[in-house]
Amino acid sequence: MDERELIERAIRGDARAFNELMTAQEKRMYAVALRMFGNREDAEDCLQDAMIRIYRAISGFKFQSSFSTWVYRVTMNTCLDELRRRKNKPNTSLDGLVDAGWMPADGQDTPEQHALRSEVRASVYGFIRELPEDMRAAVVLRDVQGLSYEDIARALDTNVGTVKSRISRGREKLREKIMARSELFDRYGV
Amino acid sequence: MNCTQMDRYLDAMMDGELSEAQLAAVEDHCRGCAECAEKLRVNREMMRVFSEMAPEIDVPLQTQAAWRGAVKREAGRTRQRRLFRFAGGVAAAAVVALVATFALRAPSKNAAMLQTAEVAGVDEAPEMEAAEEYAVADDALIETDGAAEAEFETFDEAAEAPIAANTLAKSAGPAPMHEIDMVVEDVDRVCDYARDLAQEYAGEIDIQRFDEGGVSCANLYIDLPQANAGEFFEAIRHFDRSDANLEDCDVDGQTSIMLVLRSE
Repeated sequence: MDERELIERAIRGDARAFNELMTAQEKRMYAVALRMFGNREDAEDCLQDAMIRIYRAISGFKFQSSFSTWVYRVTMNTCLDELRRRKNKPNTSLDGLVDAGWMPADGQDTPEQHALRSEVRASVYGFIRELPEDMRAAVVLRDVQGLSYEDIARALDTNVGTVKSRISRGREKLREKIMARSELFDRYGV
Repeated sequence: MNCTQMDRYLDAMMDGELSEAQLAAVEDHCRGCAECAEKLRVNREMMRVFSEMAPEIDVPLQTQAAWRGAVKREAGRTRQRRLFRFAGGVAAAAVVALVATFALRAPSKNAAMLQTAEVAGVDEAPEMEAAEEYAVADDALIETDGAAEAEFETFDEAAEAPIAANTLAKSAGPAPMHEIDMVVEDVDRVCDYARDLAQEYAGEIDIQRFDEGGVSCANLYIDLPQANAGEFFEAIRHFDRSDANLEDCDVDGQTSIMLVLRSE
């Protein structure tokens, strides 16, 4: 059954179709939530809330954008709503960042290199988390999820110019933060 | 190439849109500008770190169980809300029968909550406590509540069908019923048309109008002779703006239909 048929069935209330449809989306949704929150517990809560929002709203899906872009939009809105509700309290743990969502090491690292790599990754993760929410959302969707500027604009309900500006400023801030920790990245061999 | 242009080129590099000639110009500029050389170095490191971030992450089974369970409970609440709206227009005895039906299908505590809501005049089901419908065992997701997912599918399955007002008045047992959601341009017009159609096809119709979040809606409970159901649907489907596939419903074998209309 293709995606459109699953969507149409889900709109009519077919729960099996909804589950099958969303099982194909859950990995990306979870990745977005992890990058926005930085820990598994909040990502799980966000994923759950986003799934319920999608379940409630799917009857209004009009096929005017791709389904995955719409799913990104709902997921990101769920993340941003929660972050704004909390006033973005820092809630990032090193362990949670390192083991949540990084590709596995290639096995060539020495234990020391592995530890250093983990520290660098956690630092960058932390820097992303320090970006303002809208900027963070745009950077995550572009540089981690690989969405086009147009799809990001649809997902964040804004225009492409604003998206480009947020991403550019977000990257610039990340560069500044990385340069401020240059000793760590120097040891990493950059 | 100057330092002001450099930032733009760094963005283009991250987007994979820098041509070889542009890259050569960037590197040439960086040989004479230590500040931009440092930016270029950091930019490459950012690209490397981002490339190591997977755009998809395996979702732990416990997390899968959590969202699937949450959606299942939400589907149950949706159905209860519909049934409570529906029950508002029927006699008290019929409502008691409805609650009893819920009691048979829900944990006893939930049934008690429903009864409490009924006594208090609450027209929507209270939030139920989370029940564990999914669990993880042997690295697999299993359902633990014994209810197949079909329980909250469309009301195609006779065993899962809600009970119509006129059916309750006539008999104690549930009748087979289809529920079909339709989006229409003008709910009033479709209600009038459905009333005329039901009369034309020798059927009975009960219409309940309501507002949901400012959107005009209606529940239409329709009993039709089996032989007329197909033609009735052929006529009514022209109003459907949601492109619902009414052919999926085995209308030939059914006589009771619930249409849920929502305005665009």
